[in-house]
Amino acid sequence: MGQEELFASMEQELRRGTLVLCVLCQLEWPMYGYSLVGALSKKGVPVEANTLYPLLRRLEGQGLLTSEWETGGSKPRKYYRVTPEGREVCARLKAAWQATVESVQRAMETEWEGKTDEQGE
Amino acid sequence: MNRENDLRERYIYAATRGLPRASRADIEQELRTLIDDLLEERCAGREPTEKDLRVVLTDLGTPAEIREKYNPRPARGLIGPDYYPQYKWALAVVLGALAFGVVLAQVLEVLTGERALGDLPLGLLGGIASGLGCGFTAVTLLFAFFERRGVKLERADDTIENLPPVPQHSELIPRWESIAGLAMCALMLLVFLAFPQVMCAVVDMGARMQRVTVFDVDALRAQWLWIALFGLAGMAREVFHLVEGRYTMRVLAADLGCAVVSALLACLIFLGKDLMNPTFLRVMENLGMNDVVMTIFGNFQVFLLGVILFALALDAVDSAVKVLRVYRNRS
Repeated sequence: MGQEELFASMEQELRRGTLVLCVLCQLEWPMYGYSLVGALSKKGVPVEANTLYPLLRRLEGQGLLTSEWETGGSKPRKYYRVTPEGREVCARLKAAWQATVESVQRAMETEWEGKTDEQGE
Repeated sequence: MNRENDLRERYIYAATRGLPRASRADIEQELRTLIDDLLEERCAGREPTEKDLRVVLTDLGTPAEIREKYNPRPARGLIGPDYYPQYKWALAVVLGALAFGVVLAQVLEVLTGERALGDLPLGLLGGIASGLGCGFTAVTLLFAFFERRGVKLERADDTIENLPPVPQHSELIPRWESIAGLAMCALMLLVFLAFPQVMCAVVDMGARMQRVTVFDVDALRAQWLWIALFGLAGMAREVFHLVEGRYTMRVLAADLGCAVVSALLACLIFLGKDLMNPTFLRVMENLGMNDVVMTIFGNFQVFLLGVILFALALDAVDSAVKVLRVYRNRS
């Protein structure tokens, strides 16, 4: 596997873990699947529809989202929205994410500080 | 846009086949709306063409990829996700039929005095355990064979170019037919291999009622291999019907193949050895049956073979008619 491919797969792994948090945060207001794809993409979180739709269904099955078909428009659309339980989980995930970011930041800085110390000797 | 609708519906059908029934309709509608949204974005106001649809569907992914995302399963084991739902069905039917058959046979043995009532619980336990063990092994091996030997389902080849057509109602093989067939095969195996003595006549001998088996039990049991293979051939046919779910050329080929194999095995069973119980024939003579009945009983093995071959031929013709009708209606 070339370096570009390796980096791409690692970056995908990095993003994959954050998708649920991003989705829960976006669904404070009802959105249908394709509009959520667009909204996430605009915020720099690209996701394919064939990944997002099953994820939404899974989160609904876990009780974190609720859904409703709207048939009033030109075509039927399934709107998703976060549940109170989803909101709780989202808040906890946000806190966990903040803690993770701070830890990773420290880990990156420590390594650099360690190199500076070695070079200073 | 009939061709495009057809392509879109075939894609959705292929992508949702095998997904849990409870959510399938909902997922189908979701995919329909998503495909419309993707087409709208791509075409920006103009009328979508078939090429646009193909591009959108290719970008969405193959039906197999969609199914995997909607219904992710652990890495392939002995029986993979494509076959697992039908495997569970087949197992439930076969084990249910065997359990029912064992209970029925053992109760009949008690009623006819072959078995003491006190022996019934242990007999049931032993019979059910061994019967279910054999049934489980047979079904599991059958499906493992399908999985390993590349007996591909239509959906295993489903790219955009090879989407299966959405089946009409008349194309579908009713599930109850396959289930009934599986149950009959399981019961046949159970009776012929484990409880041949239940095929008997109860004769009033004056002082008491006597049970006279139709077949020489030892001679019949000596044919166990051909009988087991005959039953397995029947089960394989029904399992393939269950898995395929509709009348296709593959079903016809499987049916014809099974019919030929079953016919050969039936000949081996009924022409290889004298299976009739001589006592049964004597009892029939003493009862003073008419000539036609006596001719049948006198040549019972050949008569039974004839019935089986006729039934196999009828099944094969029925399958051919149904499959050819499907293809004629499509063209």
